[in-house]
Amino acid sequence: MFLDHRYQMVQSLRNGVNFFTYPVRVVVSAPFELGGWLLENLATRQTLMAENRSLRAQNTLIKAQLQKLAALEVENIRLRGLLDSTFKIADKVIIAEILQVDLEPFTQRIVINKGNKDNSEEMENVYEGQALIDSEGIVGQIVDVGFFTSTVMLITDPNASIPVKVNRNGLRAIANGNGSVDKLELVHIPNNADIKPGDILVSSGMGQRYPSRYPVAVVTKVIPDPSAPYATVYARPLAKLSQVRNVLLVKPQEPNSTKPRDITQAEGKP
Amino acid sequence: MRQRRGGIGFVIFSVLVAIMLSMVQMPSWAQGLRPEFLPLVVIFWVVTYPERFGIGFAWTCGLALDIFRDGAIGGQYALTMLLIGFVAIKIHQRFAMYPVWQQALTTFFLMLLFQCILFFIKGMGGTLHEFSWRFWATCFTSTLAWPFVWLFLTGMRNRIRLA
Repeated sequence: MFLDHRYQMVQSLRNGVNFFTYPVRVVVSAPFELGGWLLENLATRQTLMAENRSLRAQNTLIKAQLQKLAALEVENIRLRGLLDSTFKIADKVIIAEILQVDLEPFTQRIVINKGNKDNSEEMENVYEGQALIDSEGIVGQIVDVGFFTSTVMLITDPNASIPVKVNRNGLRAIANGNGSVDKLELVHIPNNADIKPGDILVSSGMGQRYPSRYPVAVVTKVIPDPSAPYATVYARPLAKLSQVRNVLLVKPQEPNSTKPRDITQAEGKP
Repeated sequence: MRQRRGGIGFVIFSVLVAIMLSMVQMPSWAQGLRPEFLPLVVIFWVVTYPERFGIGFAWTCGLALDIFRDGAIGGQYALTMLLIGFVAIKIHQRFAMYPVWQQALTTFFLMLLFQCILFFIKGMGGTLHEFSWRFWATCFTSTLAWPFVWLFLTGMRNRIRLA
């Protein structure tokens, strides 16, 4: 009774004292940041140059791929326009930093340095349910927005689920977290489903929480069990959940409701 | 009077440090192996100054931990610490007479109680996700941490008293 009464109260208390908890969290995460800073500043010239070179090569590669992507996207918009269906254009993102703090043991939650205070400008908008990605894939979603910080539930949290589909054939599934940082479990996959290790899982956008078509995980193990109704399928998250420092908050754009003609005009193509 | 004020400041400081230690990031293989510093510190102060720090103090510290540990059921640590504080204050006379290793052993049982209550609360709230030995591992690591907590806090207490 005592506990039930405060079920919601502690959460509001948490938000209320975010002013005081923020400095403590910053102090806790400071040594880690100092370590990273030292590592950066004490790096030798050679290492920096080598890193620069490899980054530049990578950049060229990514830009080349991006060119193709732009063309494909325009083509996709046009084709969808012909079908008279809506299409979501590129999502807006905000960069956030992770504070190096642990929360409740056996949950997979992190704290980021974005909160209500960033909501003043129209683009900078942090809200509950917002999805986070890193350079490799989906990280998780915001479950609680404070003033300075927000709490993020990773996709590997025991309470987290994410709707996915197999990139190869569009087979839909739900990936549940189970508390370990490198494992997701796919539930309700029939024994004869077309899924095999190495398949990339992308978010399907169902459930309206996570934006669609972001990579989520790669299937690692499929164990069909004829005596059980469903096969046991495990996947490994693509996002580097245990070593990310920066994450991107994704803000999905409103579905583009313009008519096909407008799109072609906007793109400057016949 | 002035000494007492300094003492209170140090108690608050030690509680804050304990909370910070419980937030320092650990590698994922060490999950669940972190000693629970806050109960240890609270047990220390309750058995050392039972006339000043009682179950109210324990409850407040538990609530502070609740606030910092997002993802916990609201109030679970407040309730748990309250009960730990109650047991600690009941046995404080015997506890103060024990040598350190026996104190550590007693701490082990207090931590076992701590985890048991958490086990019940989490089980009822549906947030119990860990069924392996890891859930109970913190009892052992906390026991191992007790001598260090004891040494540090006793040393600091004596120094503050002298000052």
